[in-house]
Amino acid sequence: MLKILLRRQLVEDILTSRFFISLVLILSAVCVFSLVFTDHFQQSQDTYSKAMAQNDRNLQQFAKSPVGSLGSSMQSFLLKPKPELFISEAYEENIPQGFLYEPYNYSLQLLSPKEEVSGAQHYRSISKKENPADVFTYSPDLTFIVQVLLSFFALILAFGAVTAEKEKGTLGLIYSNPTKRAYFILAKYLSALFTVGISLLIGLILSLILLNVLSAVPFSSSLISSLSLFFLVSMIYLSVFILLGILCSVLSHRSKNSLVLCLLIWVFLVIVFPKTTGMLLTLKRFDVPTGEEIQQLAQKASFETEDRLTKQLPADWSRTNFEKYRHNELFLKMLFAYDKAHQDTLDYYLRKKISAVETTRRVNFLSPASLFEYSSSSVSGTGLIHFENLWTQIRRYENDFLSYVKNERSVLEKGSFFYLFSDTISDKPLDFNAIPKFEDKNPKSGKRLKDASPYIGLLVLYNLFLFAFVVYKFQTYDVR
Amino acid sequence: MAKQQPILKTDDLSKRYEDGVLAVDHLNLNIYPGEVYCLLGANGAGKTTTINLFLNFIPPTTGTCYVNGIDVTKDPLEAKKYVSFVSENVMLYGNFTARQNLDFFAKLGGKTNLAKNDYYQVMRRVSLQEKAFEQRVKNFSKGMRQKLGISIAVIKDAPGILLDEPTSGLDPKAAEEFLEILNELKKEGKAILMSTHDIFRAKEIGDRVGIMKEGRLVMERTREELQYEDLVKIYIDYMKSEPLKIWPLPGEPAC
Repeated sequence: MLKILLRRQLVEDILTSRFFISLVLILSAVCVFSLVFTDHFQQSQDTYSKAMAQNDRNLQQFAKSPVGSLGSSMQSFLLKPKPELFISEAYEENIPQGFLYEPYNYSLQLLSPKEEVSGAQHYRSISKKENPADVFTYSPDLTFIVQVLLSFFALILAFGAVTAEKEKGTLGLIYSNPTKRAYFILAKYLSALFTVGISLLIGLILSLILLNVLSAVPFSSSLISSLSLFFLVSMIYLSVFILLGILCSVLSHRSKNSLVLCLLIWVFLVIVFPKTTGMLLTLKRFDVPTGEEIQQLAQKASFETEDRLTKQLPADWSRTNFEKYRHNELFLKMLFAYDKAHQDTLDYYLRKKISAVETTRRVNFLSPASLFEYSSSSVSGTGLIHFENLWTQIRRYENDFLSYVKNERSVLEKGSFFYLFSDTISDKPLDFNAIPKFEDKNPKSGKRLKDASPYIGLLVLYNLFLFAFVVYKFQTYDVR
Repeated sequence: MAKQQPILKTDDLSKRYEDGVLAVDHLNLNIYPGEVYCLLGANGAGKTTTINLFLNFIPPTTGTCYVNGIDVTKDPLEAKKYVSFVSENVMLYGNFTARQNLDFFAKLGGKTNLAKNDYYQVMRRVSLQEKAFEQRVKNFSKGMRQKLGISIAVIKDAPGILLDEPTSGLDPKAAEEFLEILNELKKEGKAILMSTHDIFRAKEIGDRVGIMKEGRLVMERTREELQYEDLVKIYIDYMKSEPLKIWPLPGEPAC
């Protein structure tokens, strides 16, 4: 019975002009977005390559003369531009673009959004404008196509699922036969899901080809796994809108009413809710100080640490005669603690800012459009999750780099602390190839799926609830 | 006519809608194989509600509907295997051809092994033009759609057929053709319940004719009885008579 209903519905859905119009719209959007992305992606890749080349030059210099170039061995660790940004840009331009690492004083400075990466940068706060949840724009990516265009198409496909049949008089005719009501709903649902899925699949294949042709992005397994995960997430998201469309149809008795209801729900869930909660919450500023305030707080923390530790130094110690104490263990410990306190303060507020963004996300959990946005950025490994991943990788690299210097260059090492004074390092040239290099690696698909799982889980729950509710309401629907 | 088990039967059937309207009031009907029962009545008399109750589109307030001896409320899926339905305004799927529509509804009715020729045969039988078989239904006239509707009922080959004002809006020729098909189905032993406003055709086709007023079956005559009575006069007299007193249903408070 289900097969009979499904086959008829599929033919009807795929042969309608609605399907062809939406397909043309989606493919046009994919083409335009590909062109925009290509241009931007190549620029980003150039910037990234330059920064990486500069890092290599600095390290080569350091390898030749570790002592002489210790101060300039800083490296820029930037968010690597990924082809996955075409799947989900996730406001990556609006978040800090990476870190500037100076092993000399244990400093890891945050690079501000869109800031030039060469030269010395200074920490700037992530102002409220830089909160990714606060951006009232859309990025030209596949996420936009699914989140906005295809969700609309899904509703358009489903809004007349029941009412149109009733208006045609076919609903009564169907139910004059031994047809289970749940099968009717299931056939409508599966057919719409398949129809939307076909449009999406064609769009994804086209985007893969265009990316390859226009940006010379190879068909890597990573990109294909990202696209596959994105397809999965998109189908779960679009399923919510198909069920909402069917629900509107079940709750209405005329297609016109159902359409109006669908449009209102779409505008609220896709446009109004996800975009306004971020703005409303950022009005409170999340209790995160401004960049200048953070700098002052970091400075204050350093001084307090210094004051506390200098009490342990010999009485004749002062800032002017510190050269005398450069090999004093307590003094070195103090320098280390001084910088660490500064860094910890900066890190603390960075974590706080990230937590503020996550708070916004939690409020937006009510909107399937937001859940989809977060899950697509998670499966693509872009946006805030990319930044957090970069940060984790840098922390690991920092340890690797210092361990290398410590082990290879017989640096002064006492107790549990370690500090890079030039005269504690041997100036014997290093093997450049042996120096650990930083690379922003894309997490494996399993990890990305795990990151997305809370959002996907909620979307699945939405689906289950809506499906059960639709079937329940339709059991008592007046089919006359 | 040899009395067998009725195919379509109501047992003290009543339906009161949520707005308080008593649409069907203690209706008792028995329609036997090879019998056409015509239900006459003004708009709102309860004819369509009776058909809807047979199809389990709405639940009865009291009483029971049986199709082929099966309680419609208790086992609707089983009961619907034994009944076909033709509505007043058959719209069908406009983007599908006549054959595709027929194929879909035949399969829903359980006829899954039919060939193209079987569909053509049924459509020929209901006098649908050959050239229309593979045409999209959206271009069909009302008469053509009604014929296709009856072909859906024919192909299901159920022992009971429910017709809800099937000739309304049809031109006289199409209506006449429609009645011819009904006569054939009757000869095949189908039990047919037809609601209609058309007194003349009811008299012509009906083995029994019932008049409903305000939900009650107020009169019933056999074909033989109607040879000596004027159905038009009876109908008009009943329509002009005083409104009936509405009695509360069991369990309802007295009015």
